[in-house]
Order: sequence, then structure tokens, then C-alpha cells
Amino acid sequence: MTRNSIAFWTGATVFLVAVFVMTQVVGNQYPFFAGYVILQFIALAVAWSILGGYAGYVNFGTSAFFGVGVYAAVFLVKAFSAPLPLQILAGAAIGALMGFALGLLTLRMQGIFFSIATIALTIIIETTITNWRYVGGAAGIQIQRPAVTAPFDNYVQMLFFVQALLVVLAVAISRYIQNSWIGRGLQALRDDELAAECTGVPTLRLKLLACVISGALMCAVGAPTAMYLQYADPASAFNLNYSVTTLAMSLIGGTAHWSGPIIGAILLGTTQQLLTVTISSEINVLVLGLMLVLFVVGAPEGIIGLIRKLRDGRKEGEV
Amino acid sequence: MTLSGAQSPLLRISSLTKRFGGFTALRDVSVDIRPGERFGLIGPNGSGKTTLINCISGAFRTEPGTILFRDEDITLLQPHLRTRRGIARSFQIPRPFRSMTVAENLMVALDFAAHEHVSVAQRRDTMMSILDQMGLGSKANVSATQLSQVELRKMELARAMATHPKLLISDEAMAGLSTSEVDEVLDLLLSLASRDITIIMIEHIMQAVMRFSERVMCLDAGRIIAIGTPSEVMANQRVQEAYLGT
Repeated sequence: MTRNSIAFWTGATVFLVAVFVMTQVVGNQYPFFAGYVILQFIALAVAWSILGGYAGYVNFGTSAFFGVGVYAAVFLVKAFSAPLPLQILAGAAIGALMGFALGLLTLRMQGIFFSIATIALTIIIETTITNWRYVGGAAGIQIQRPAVTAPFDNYVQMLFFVQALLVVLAVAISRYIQNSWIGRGLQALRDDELAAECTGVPTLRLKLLACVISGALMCAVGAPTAMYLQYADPASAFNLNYSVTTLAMSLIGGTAHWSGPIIGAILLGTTQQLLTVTISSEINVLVLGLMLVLFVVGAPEGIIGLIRKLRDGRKEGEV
Repeated sequence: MTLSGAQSPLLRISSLTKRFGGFTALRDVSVDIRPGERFGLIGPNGSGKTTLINCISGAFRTEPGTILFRDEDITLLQPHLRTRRGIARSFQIPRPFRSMTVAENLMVALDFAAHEHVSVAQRRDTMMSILDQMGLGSKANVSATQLSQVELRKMELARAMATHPKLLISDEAMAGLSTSEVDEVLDLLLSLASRDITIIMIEHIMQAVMRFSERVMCLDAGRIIAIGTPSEVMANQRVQEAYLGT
């Protein structure tokens, strides 16, 4: 293991231990409710950037994957009273299949056309679920949480910890991809797909891989939401806000490095939670839009790009 | 227009036709390229030179017609698999990986197209030695966006070389360069050819074509109108008509 890897896994362990200790020590439920949402967006943004950042295929279908994760869980709970780990695994499996289908789209569609197709995908799936009576249809469905298992004494605390695990998983995968031949291949095909093919990069296979991994993670992140809200309805599970927020977080953080989406998600997610409490949840969307405009104009490479520019500038200054 | 002799061709193109809708860009093109040959491909603008290259490298699918490379039918093979079998190309308008440094551009080729499993350190050595040959050694850590035009052309050739090609197709690598730069790139191509790499060179600069090629083929409106030694082709009436438009 390299020094970087040791540092990364130490950090991940410290993070998980801190989250666990928090669930055992903090009595107030609110931090877990708010923290869960932030963790969820970190995982979504990291998963999104595997396809949207590394491969450059801008996916507006985050809400489709997220919503399918939610409804996979809903279906499993209603039909089989399946436990949480099974809900997440099933979500990931369905997400992988959806990702594969999305990957096949990239054969024919690039750029804006791909993005539009992902929005269409969201609408099609949402409409299907809305008309599926078994999982509640348009009216939505109430979900009963099972009893919480030790060492947790509250279900939301447990979900908070589970989401933290998903964050670590997503980040570890994203980091591995960036540092491996997969990352180099994706970067090459993002720059120029034909040149990449002619340099020996199996572009279709790599795009499929990125879509499958990204899709599986996004669905897995959506799965615990059914239990978190104890309720699911198509309009909120497939809300386009998930797509826009995830995209904004990744872009604001910067997609050139795996840590970019984390920074973006923490920054935006925390701001949104604070605004929701102090002003109103409506102002969220406004702030999101303003920040996105600000960054697109001022720092198109995101915070990561800004840091790199400052660092390079200082280096040149020294010379 | 196939050649006779005991040696089997490196590349055999048979009755290749390529249509774009109602427009026929290539019509019944058949040609054999010998191993180690320096082959010049000329023709007026729009005659189908780049289309032919795109068919050989796999960017375009051909309808009728077959392409054999080292006795293997590659007509339906994806581009990256052709690259791995030893067909590399440069592009008429350079297509570098813009978010990468020169070294990283070459590493893509070494990561994905290298035949044998070699260590990262060995790959770096190979990369540096190719860059040195191409005169780009000092530019290894420079972003591809900061290269001059002639450096971009050299980097494209270097990236193609990093895939260990048996056949290298150079698509107007000298277009828009100064006379001294043309000589520089031409010397590079000649030195590559002296190392057992078969080269197909598309070029408009006749001096370069004459100096480089052992055989020249001239396309016009998607058909082969002449093939032979450079002086034979230059003397050909139809070639002169195609170029001078008389």
C-alpha cells in the first residue's frame, strides 16, 4: 500500500468511528436527520462524477436512479419484509442493470443528446411507478420501520451510520477508478472518443463500466430513503431536484479529483440544511442556482480547479 | 492492382466501397501494402484519402469490401482492437487528450495498447525514449494544450508509436508546417520506417511524397486512378488532370 492509500484508509476509518461514536453519544435526533441528507448527497455526488466527471457524460437521471432505489426498497419491504441490507443490495443490482442500459445509449448519443435522454428516462420511470398500484401509485405508500437492532437505539441513527458506510464505499471506488487504468481511459475518452479508440482504449466497455458502477451506487444510496422517510411517493422520490443538486455539488466541488464532489456536497448540503432551518426550504433552490452561476462564471473547474490554480500560481511566483 | 510475389501483404484491401447516404466516397478500392513499405497516398481534396484511412483504422464501417491485416479479416473489428493488432494513426487535425500532459497522452497508449504486460517503470522508460526520439523529451510534463502546431503533430506520431504499431498511418502530418518543420517531420517518419514499421503517408506536399514514398497511389473521386513509383504516378496524365483540373 502506498502512503496515500494508508492516509486514505486511516481517514475513512476515523470518519466511520466518529460517526459511530456520534450515534452512541448524541441524544438529540435532529443532527442525524440533517446529517443523513448531507451524507446521502455526498454519496450521490461521488457516484455521479464517476460517469459525469471522469467520463464527461452529463447524467440528468440521478433522480431516476435514486427513485428506483427507493421503490426497490418499497417493493421488497411490502412483498417480503426484506431487511435493510437486502434492500440496499437489491437497489444496487437494479441500478447496475439500469446503468448498463444507460451505457448502451452512449453508443449513439453524446453531449446534450445523452443528457436529454437521461431526463426522458426519469420521466418514463416516474410515470411507470405512478401507475403501479402495488407500491402505492401516485398517492404514495406508508412504510413501517422494523425494530432497530443493537448497538443502535434509534432507527435514524442506524440509517445515518449505514449512509456513512455507503459514502466510504462510493469514495473508495471513485478513488480507485481515478488512480487506475480505468480512470486514465475514461479521461482519454472524455477528451476525445475517436482518438481514445485509436489509441487502444475500449471506449464502449469503459463507458458501460462507469455507467454500471455509477448507477449501482446511486440506486443503493436511494434504497434506505424509504425507511428514512417511512413514506414514499413518486413525485418526491423522482424529484428532479436530486439530479440538479447532485450535478451542482459535483461541478461546484470540481470533477477533476475524487475529493471534488465531497467538498461540493458538504459545502452545498450544509448550506442547504442551515437555510432550511433558518429561512425556508424554498430559498434552497435559489441559493443553489446562484452558487452554480457563480461557479460556472468564476471557477468553471470548481473548487478543486481553483485550489490547483492558486497552487500553480504560487509555484510560478516562487520561481 | 494487387501485387504478386511470395511475400503476403501486411494489409490487403479488397473491393472496398464506402457510401454516405447517396454519396459514394470510395468506390471499389483494392490495394495491397507490403510489409515495411513506405506508401504515399495522394489525391485532390475530397478524393477519399481520409475516408480510406478511417475505414482502415475502423472509425468507419465499410459496406461491401474486406480488409485483411496480417492475413486476419479485420473488416468488422472495433478501432481499439485494430490498434492492439498494430494499426496506429495520426489525425489530419491533431486530436490530443487536452486535459493531459504529453507524457500522460503517451501513457494512455502504453496502458491500453501495449502487447506485453510490463511494469509501470518500464512503461515510463519506453514513453521517455519515444519522446526523446521525437524530440519532445523536454515537453513530457507540459500540458498538451500548450504545444505548438509542429509539436502537436510530433506528439500524435509519438502517441501512435507508443501503441507499438506495425502499420502507421500519417494523415497530413505536415499540413500547415514551415519548410524546415516539414523536413523535421519527414526525417522522423523516415527514421521510423527504417525500423521495420510500414507507413502509409497521406500528404499534399509533393516534395515530401516524392522523397518519402517507394510507391504512390492517387485517388480521385473515390477511385484509384494511378499506382506505382512516385515518378510514374507524377507522369500519369490522369493524375495531372485530377490535380490541375484540366
